[in-house]
Amino acid sequence: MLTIKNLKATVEGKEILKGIDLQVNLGEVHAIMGPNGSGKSTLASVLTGREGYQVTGGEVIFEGKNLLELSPEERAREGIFLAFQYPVEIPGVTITNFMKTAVNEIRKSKGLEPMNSVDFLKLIREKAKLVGISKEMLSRYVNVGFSGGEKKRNEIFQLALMNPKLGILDETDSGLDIDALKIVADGVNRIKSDNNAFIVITHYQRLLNYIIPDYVHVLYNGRIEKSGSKELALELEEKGYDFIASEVMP
Amino acid sequence: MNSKENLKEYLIKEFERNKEFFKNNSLPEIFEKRLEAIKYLSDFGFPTRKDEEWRFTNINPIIKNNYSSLNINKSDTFNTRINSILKSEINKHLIKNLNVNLIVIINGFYSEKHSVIKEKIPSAQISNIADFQKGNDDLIKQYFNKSLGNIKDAFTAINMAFSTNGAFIYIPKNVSAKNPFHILNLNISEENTLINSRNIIIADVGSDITVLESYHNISDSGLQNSNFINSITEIFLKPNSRVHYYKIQKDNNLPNIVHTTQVIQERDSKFKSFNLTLNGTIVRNNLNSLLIGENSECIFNGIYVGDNGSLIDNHTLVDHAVPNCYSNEYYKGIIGDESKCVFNGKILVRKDAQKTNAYQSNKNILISDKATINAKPQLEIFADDVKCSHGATSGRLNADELFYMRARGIPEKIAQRLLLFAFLTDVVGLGNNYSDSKKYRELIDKCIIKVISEKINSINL
Repeated sequence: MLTIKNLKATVEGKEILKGIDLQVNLGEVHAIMGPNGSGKSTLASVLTGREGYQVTGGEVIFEGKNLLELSPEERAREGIFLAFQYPVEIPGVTITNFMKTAVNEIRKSKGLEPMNSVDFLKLIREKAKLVGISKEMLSRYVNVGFSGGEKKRNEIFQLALMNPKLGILDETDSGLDIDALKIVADGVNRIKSDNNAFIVITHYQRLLNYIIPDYVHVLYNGRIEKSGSKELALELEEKGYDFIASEVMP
Repeated sequence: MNSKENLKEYLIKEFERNKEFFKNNSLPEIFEKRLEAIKYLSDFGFPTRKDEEWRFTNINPIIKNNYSSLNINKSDTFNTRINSILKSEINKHLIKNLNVNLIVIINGFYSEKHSVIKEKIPSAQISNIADFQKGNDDLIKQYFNKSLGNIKDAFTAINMAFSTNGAFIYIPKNVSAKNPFHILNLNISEENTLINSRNIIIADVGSDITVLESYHNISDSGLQNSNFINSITEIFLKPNSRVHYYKIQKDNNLPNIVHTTQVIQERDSKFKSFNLTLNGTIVRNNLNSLLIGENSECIFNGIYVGDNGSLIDNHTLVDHAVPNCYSNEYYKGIIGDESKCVFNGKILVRKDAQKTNAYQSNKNILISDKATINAKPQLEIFADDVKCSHGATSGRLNADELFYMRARGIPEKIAQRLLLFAFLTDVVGLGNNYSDSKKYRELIDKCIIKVISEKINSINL
């Protein structure tokens, strides 16, 4: 479904991604781990088309399309969803209005009629339940005044609503206590199916106790230096990222 | 006005030509003020960009225009023209489902035919100010031009000298008007007319009214609109009175406007205003409130959207002359294309005005590289025990917010419009809680939200 080949990217002239290769297939969960500054969030930003990131080499093919040629909204319509590390506050726009616009714009791009209000309300209430988002929260402005946990739950709620082919979770576990982590992970596990795939970016192994990855990749200094099964995450937790460093630098 | 003549000369000549008319149709006190005003104009002329209050606003298009009429005396032809205007032409500018006491001003003339005062308020006086100027009326003697004091600029001088018509609204003691008063200004562009109208609103002790002023073009006006509206609204709040005041300029192709709202607040009064400017070539809104009674409250809210090369200038002054008053000002603007907006907000806290709470905020979003905002928040404090703040910001749409929305599949332009609309909406309206008796403010606010939304959807991005 997703093929990344030798992807290189710079931020403000500095090379952050130095040749990433990754193959993600339907039904798979890939964890990308790595120390601070290794390029994890840059990878998420490049995949979703954020401004300020220059791709200097390589390619990303998603469902047969050259992803890097598409605008962020076109990528979303193709079925890519990023759960933000730092969800953005949007004063003046309610979650309901935000999601209604998003869902209907995606429908429009596929030549479908906009969803009527009754059906939409039913849909959002059903998905909100999944991660414990209350009716009251749905009428609040997007992320404004939300706690860290509420913001992350709101991301997973949006994920459930948009029902993407590829979900990218960018450090969704950061800033979460164990209860919030369980709610978020539980939400993802219910959405996970044979018809979608996930890339879970995380600094710690903790989240992977709840969202079980099929593959674990270690991103170090802009390259995937090591890939393995879920046991690799445990090894990292035990030995720290230094052991990768010692393998990389002879 | 012949082409060699400048506007000042033209005005002085026209005043001389019509002197007898003014003398015969004004109270002696008012005629005196007219003479003073003409003298001011003759001595000082028009402001230039060197004048601090006009630094950012070029009025040349107004003063270089070749006017052919001052609409001093309603001619028979013009009367026929006014009478030919259908009620439906007026009604389409009214707010849906809103019952109003309607006062229609056409090119500066009060139209008896179109004005409909539904509400019967005992001892209230609602009419054309022209009606009072001939008789020996104490109210008009007492209040005409009172809020403006000594003439300080050419536009108020011209209005003082030439205005004959306009709405006069006196609400007696302890009366709460059931319906808002809608002063609907309709513009007909047949010849280049300099229009001076004067509205006077007096809210007596303990009274409560809502006033809505709006400006519109008659639909058969051509695209070229070369009139100039120079109008003044004086508002007097007696002790413990409430005035909610809306001013709405939203139509396309409105003539150039210099409009001054001058307010005087006595003790325990509350004045709340909302000013909406969505279109116009040159629009100068002066809004000034003088607080002369303790425990008064003054709220100035406003929204402006400049596009298509318009120039929108909001000049405000809150003058705290006495202690224990509260004022809060909040203006927001979006500026696009090659247009230019000015926000000049001044809070003046005089020496005796201890325990003043005065706040002001102005926020702007620029959506084009060629758009300009000149924001000038001013705070002058001469008392030592006050709480005051002011500030102005200008910037672009937040890139993180835009990306967040686009990452959810919302196209860039739609995301921009959503954010622009969201940016403005927290200023809209004057009542957060619409009590049953003032339910109509909710209707007005809904209408305002609708026109803002339409404007945002039509603006170039």
